[in-house]
Amino acid sequence: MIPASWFLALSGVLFALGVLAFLIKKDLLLMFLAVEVMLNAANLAFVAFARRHGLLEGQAAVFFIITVAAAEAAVGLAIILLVFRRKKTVKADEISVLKG
Amino acid sequence: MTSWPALLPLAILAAGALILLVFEAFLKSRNKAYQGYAALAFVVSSGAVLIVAWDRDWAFFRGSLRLDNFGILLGLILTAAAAFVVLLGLRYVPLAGSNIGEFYPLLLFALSGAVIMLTTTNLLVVFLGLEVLSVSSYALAGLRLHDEKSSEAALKYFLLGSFASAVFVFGLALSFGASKSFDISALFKNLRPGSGTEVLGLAGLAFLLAGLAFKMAVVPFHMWTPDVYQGAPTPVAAFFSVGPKAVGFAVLLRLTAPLLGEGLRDDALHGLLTVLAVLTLIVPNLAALRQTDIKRLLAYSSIAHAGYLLLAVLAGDPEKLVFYLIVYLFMNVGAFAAVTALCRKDEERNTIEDFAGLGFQSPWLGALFSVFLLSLAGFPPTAGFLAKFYVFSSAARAGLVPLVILAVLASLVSVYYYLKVVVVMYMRPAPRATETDVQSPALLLVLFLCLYGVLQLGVNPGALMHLIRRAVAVLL
Amino acid sequence: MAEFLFFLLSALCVGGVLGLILSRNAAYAALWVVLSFAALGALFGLLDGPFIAVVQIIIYAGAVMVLFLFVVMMIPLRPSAPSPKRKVFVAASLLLTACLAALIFLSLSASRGTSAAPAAPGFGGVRGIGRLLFTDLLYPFEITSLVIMAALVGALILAKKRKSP
Repeated sequence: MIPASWFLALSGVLFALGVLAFLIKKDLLLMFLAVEVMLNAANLAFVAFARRHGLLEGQAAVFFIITVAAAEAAVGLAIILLVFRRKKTVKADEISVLKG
Repeated sequence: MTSWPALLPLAILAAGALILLVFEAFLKSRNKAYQGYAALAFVVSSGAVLIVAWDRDWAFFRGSLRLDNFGILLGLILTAAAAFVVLLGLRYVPLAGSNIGEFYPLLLFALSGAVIMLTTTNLLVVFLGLEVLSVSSYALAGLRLHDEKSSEAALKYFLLGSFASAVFVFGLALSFGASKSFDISALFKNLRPGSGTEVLGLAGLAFLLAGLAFKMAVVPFHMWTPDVYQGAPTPVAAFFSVGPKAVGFAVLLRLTAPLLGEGLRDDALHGLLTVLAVLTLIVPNLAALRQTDIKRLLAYSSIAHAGYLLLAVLAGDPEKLVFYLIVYLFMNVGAFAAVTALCRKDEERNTIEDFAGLGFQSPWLGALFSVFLLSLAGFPPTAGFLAKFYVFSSAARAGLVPLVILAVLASLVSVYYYLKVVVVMYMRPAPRATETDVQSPALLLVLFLCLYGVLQLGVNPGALMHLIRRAVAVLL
Repeated sequence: MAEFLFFLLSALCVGGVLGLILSRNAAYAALWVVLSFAALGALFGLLDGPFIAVVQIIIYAGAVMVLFLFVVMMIPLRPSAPSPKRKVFVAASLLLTACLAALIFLSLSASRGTSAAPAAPGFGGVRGIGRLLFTDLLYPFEITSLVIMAALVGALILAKKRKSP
């Protein structure tokens, strides 16, 4: 039987890597993928805690997070397409009309 | 008490949004004004149900939906903000062209998300409400489809907002691990020293706070604010400046309220909030000094006001915080209404130079805008002064004297950039002879209601304070 | 055996995310993430969650990521030129992430839970989760419909083609 803390450690690694990827990636799509990685790290933490405490709520929370991730993906990809049609680029540092 | 009417405020808003969408699809009317009136009816009736529910403590879904007095009062702030924004939309939407027809349903969705967050003590529900609010906000920010600034605002709001949501979810997972439940009050029991999970619970709370801080626009999580306000349609920016901030602070109060009384003093949480407050008082007030765009200026101003609100949290005084939020609603929406008044067909006029000579061209508008700016700066006898005075004095009583001194200095700096706009309005001649706008009655209604709020609360806050006291009693 | 499986799947999972960070091509990056999420689904299986393991693989790795790939394919790919300023920024990001990781580990290791009790039979099955979704978690379940509706409307409005004004 693998202790739940191993899974929690893996979840921490995934979350930190997700944050790192969000910070250093310049491509909008990849930045959003990094957010998905962070959400999945949270999913893993939920399932690990569900196992540790014997509470099914933790597993049910994963459903809600997957739903939300899908909803965010729908809106987010629509926004990225909207920007791409106008600017013909998806690089974060080439999109900067707004500053000051 | 379990009773189904608890569902009504939310059900009216959600059903209203769907009805408006169906109308939009099947009625090919050129004039979209009926949508605005219908949206206003839905918002107002939802607010009316909230008023009826006062003191009744309706609950449903095994207590995960509960209309307690605190949630009701904050929900009323939000419905008032949304009603003002709908009224602003009545003038703005016809100017912005037909692309913006879905403005009202999306606004109703955003409002229902906010109401979900306010009327629960279940963190999973808070998260889902946050998502309803965020997802519709991203779309609202990008509604000016032909405007590249608006698309960029939507993009920035979406990227940073989804990042913040992910942080919030991770905090939710950690706090679930610490407290074995999604309930807010269960989290605290696990924060007490000796419970064995206090580090985990505290880390969870910190991640939750970081996620909320994005919504409240607190430094260092504020980067999106000026860009989004500048790019988003003006009424939408007005909603963003009040709605998510009020909701964020409400959830923050629910999270920290039991700690406010006792342990917040020497806690790690106290240190964390102090750092946020100091940064939020300094950074935006300096950044606002060199802005030339009125919406960016108001964005930095809204960040700065989050700093004063944080001061009230640190002082452990939820009453003054809620009072500040209500005053902030009136003066800020009033200011945005004045900015909306300047919009032309297919053109937002947002630079401070556009306001030159406004004080003579349309004396009423100039005078009202000046009052709102003076209130934001904190001049007596406006409500802005009283709200600041309350917060500062209760912080001083709580022994936060250095922070209060910093806050007073910050608001002195803020006087400069607010007055700069007033000076431009009255001292600078208009650059060209612009035709005088016929103002819409809806816009005038918003301006005068906000004026009434700003002046009335500045002179006579007693009745409202009484209500607030009864509302925050649920927290303690 | 279970330990071996855990380490294999963890390696796939972390490797997939590293692939996202290191690859310059958006399509490859998305495929790496698909691999990572599929491995994550298998890890859910190890944690007595057979049903969500399946859901994770079918919906997340399958549907959501394929949506991503569609969008990646719609957008012409173009490798980015590295700029000198980025180096400092990347270093700062690495430092920040290291701090974050340390913080997370501190908090996670501080919570030694009483683990190792074998799961009750049927834990994580469809029946238990389904019952939970329609009793205690009914309200969140209803709210998800609102989330999806708002997302649908928002996506339709923003992505629809329209005549330029």
